Amino acid sequence: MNIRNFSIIAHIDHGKSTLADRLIEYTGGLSSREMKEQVLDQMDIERERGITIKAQTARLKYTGSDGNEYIMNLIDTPGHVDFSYEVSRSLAACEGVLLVIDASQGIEAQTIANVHLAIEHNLVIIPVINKIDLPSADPQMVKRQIEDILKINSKEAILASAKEGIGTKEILEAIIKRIPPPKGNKAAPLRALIVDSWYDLYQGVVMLIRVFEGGIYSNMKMMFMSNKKMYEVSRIGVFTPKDMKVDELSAGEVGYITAGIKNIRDAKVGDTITDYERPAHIPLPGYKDIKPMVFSGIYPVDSSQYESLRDALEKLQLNDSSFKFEPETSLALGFGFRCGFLGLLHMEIVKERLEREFNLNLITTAPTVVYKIVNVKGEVMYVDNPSKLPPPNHIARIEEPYIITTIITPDEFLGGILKLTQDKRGEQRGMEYIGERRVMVIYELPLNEVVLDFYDRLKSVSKGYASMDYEYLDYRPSSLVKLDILLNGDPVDALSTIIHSDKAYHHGRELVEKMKEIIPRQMFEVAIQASIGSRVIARETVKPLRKNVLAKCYGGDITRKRKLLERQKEGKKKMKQIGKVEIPHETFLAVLKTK
Amino acid sequence: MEEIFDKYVESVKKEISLISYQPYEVISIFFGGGTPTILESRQLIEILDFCKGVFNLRSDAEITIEANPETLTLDKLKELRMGGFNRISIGIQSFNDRLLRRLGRIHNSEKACQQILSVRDAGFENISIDLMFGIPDETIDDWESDIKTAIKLNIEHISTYNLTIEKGTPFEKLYSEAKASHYLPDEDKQLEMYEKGIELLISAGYEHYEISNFAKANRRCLHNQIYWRNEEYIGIGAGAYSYINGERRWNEKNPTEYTKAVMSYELRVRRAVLQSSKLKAQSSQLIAGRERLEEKSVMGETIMMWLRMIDGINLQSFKNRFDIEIQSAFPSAVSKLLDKGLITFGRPPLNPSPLCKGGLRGVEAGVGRDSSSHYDLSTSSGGEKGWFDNGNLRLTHKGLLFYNDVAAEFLWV
Repeated sequence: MNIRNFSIIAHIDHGKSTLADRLIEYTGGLSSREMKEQVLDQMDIERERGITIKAQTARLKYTGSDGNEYIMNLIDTPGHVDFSYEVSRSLAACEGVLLVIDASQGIEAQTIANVHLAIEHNLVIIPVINKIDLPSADPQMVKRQIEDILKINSKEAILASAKEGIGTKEILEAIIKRIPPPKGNKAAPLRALIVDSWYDLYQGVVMLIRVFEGGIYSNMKMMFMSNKKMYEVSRIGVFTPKDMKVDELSAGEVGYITAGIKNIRDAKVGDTITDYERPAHIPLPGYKDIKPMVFSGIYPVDSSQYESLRDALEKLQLNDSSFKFEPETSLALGFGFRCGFLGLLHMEIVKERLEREFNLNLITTAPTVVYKIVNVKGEVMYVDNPSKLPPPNHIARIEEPYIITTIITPDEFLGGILKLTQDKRGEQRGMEYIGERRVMVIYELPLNEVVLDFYDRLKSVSKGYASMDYEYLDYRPSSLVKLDILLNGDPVDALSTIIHSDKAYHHGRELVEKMKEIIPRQMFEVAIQASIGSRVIARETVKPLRKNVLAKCYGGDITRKRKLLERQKEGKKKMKQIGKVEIPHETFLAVLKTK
Repeated sequence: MEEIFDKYVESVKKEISLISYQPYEVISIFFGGGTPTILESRQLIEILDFCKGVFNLRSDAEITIEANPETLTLDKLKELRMGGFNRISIGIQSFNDRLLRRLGRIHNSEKACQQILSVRDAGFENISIDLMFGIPDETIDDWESDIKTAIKLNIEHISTYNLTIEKGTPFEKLYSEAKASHYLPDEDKQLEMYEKGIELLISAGYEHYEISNFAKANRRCLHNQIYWRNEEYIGIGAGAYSYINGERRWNEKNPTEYTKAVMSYELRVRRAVLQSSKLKAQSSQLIAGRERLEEKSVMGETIMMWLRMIDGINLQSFKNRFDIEIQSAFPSAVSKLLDKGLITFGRPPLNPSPLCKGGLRGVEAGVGRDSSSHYDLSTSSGGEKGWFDNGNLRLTHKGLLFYNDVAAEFLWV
């Protein structure tokens, strides 16, 4: 059997999913009736936002121009910087990649990041210059970039338009010719890598696997090498991309198995599956354990939805092991959960799924990174919630996570971007022209500055043309303080932030001003204060409401006036009570909206 | 024009005749809607006489006609008085020419005063006027002088309304513009005016018996108290509202459509009416809308209305009516509002409180800002123990100013 295992990698919007669609269509994996656009993107949100979040696979049958029949396993990868670790997971199951580059936009930040990942995994890279049908396409410019920046021979690049079906055959032929068939001894004891796992309501845990050695077949007694748990394989199959049952998978093949597993934690992504009767001795390299980078509190608006929120989080986690949560309580918001995400987009997607698929009404607190605190006794602790920061006199030093970020932009926006990175306490590490009028800048930045609004501001200063990617770097000591917000003297824990001391004053000022606009007048005066420790750095006052009374109400008016009061009440119900002060939800987002 | 009015009068009479059952004793008739005096006195009296024939009208019933100072002559007033109207409600708004112009009124203060004298001459012993405060450009002194004029004229009943700029009115257009907004007295000023009015009227011997209403002894408006206790009433005419058998409904608003609907009604559904002998949905055209609330909502709505009365809600009457005590029906609302000092339990203060500086009824709302000592007295009398003996649940002075927040607590949203 001739097998090729490959992934498609690309910067967002460069046409990865469209190319996957075309390959599936060309090889007859789906009839045209079944062919929906972006077939591999299953979730609504993925299709709406046009991004891939979870890796998917498709087994394609193709007869090459050499007359031989090939089985090609396409392992789709996510297309966003937050999910680069998932890209890395998919790549571990492949021997080669298609690197898709938009013919008019050229190389973008994630193109570079993805190429680095592919090189790390020793994969063959086939560059595909996509969208050559567009009037603005400039394949020559892209070829130069491929040579200069990626250090790849541009003669290897294939010109294509996934939308128009141009170049599809060449791509399939290149996969056959350039990507090596998988190696691996079919007679050796089984070693299969769990590439992904998810929970299916009917089948239990489904595992996407790549068999490296030996074979796996129905009813086989299999074992996870990490926890030594034994299960009997109940179903084996491949996606074409339709689900198709097969009897076995052997070395080099990609497919899925189920084994009556109820708990997804038993089927850990990156673990090695072996034969229980004839176990292998050494597991496959596996994956680095991924740690969430960004944390935020998620609370139900209506406290009676707490249990529903917990159920929803548990269900989401079944299919997204990178997302973490644990219960927390806030004086201001009551019972909720502290959730950990890979990045801001991941956070947005989780929140959106909770609200949309589970019909919950939620308050999210400002996202924060994980700080490293060294106390006066020299003990180290990690804090993912500003309200858990020890008192200042217990802290010897605070360290914050830094990232290294690559930004690629048309040079006309460079000035704005340099100013932005400077505002965000960035340190430049490199800057070079990559082809005419395009610049790549490399910066080291504190992650805490990036999680708030860096993307949005980057997009706005570059009119959407700049792209960025980042990698986690290290922890560095920094002059950080906790900024508290007090309402009538009571601190509101959910509004506390950890911030660089140089920015605290300005931020505090802006925050209380913003809150003054949002908090409605109450029966009493409301003092909004920003403080660092016991020092108040900014204050605003919401003047008390003196009266709220309908002057008239007679016979013909009763229904209308009742409805008026009901509407007023409904508005109030949507507020959170902090001490005696009632504040609308938007207050908690105010932190996000200040610069 | 005359023909149209005659036709309308016919329609009104026909609608009255459709309500051909008399289970109620009628204690009040109110000719309202702003300017019913646009009809001639003979037409108004014709309708009133027709009512007397159909309904079981109590001998001392309050029969009010609303009037606009611009539509009255002494002769007309005399005719109305002789025809049986015993109370008149006049939309004076202000005795200040400058402010009247601001309100776009065509009458002036001299005419307004004369008008009131004519009403007296015509034999009306029960006069009510509306006064408005918070008018653009108005000062505290302006307001004080308006109140004093009313007192001097010995008006029996005074409604003082805070001008509110409603959406979709020409006023809104005028005053939503920033340049004009500074003319409007600010909230503090409005509050000062409201409290000044209360203080002056109580000192002059008026009872402050509803949020915006004041009356001399035994001159409370019977009719409006029916609304405020959320009791039943029958509305007749274009756009009129009724509240009967737990159902609220409203008639077709457009007078021409209304007339058509009533006139064509009899032939088609006469039999149905005879069969049911109840005031039911007779014609979809005549009844423009209806609403029936659940028991809990009726309770809430009743509290919303009744709390407008300064005496508050009589706990025993509430229990008799709904078969549940108010604080069993709304335990959290009651305790929360007590906590916030917006409501209090207490016997309605029938005797003048020694601490109240001049009112006939020592309601704390009547004493303005220096009421703290009195206020304490009334709350201490309404403690946990013995609340029921104290009779009523009512707004505190602060509760009066935040009536909307209090009422909303009892609504089911």
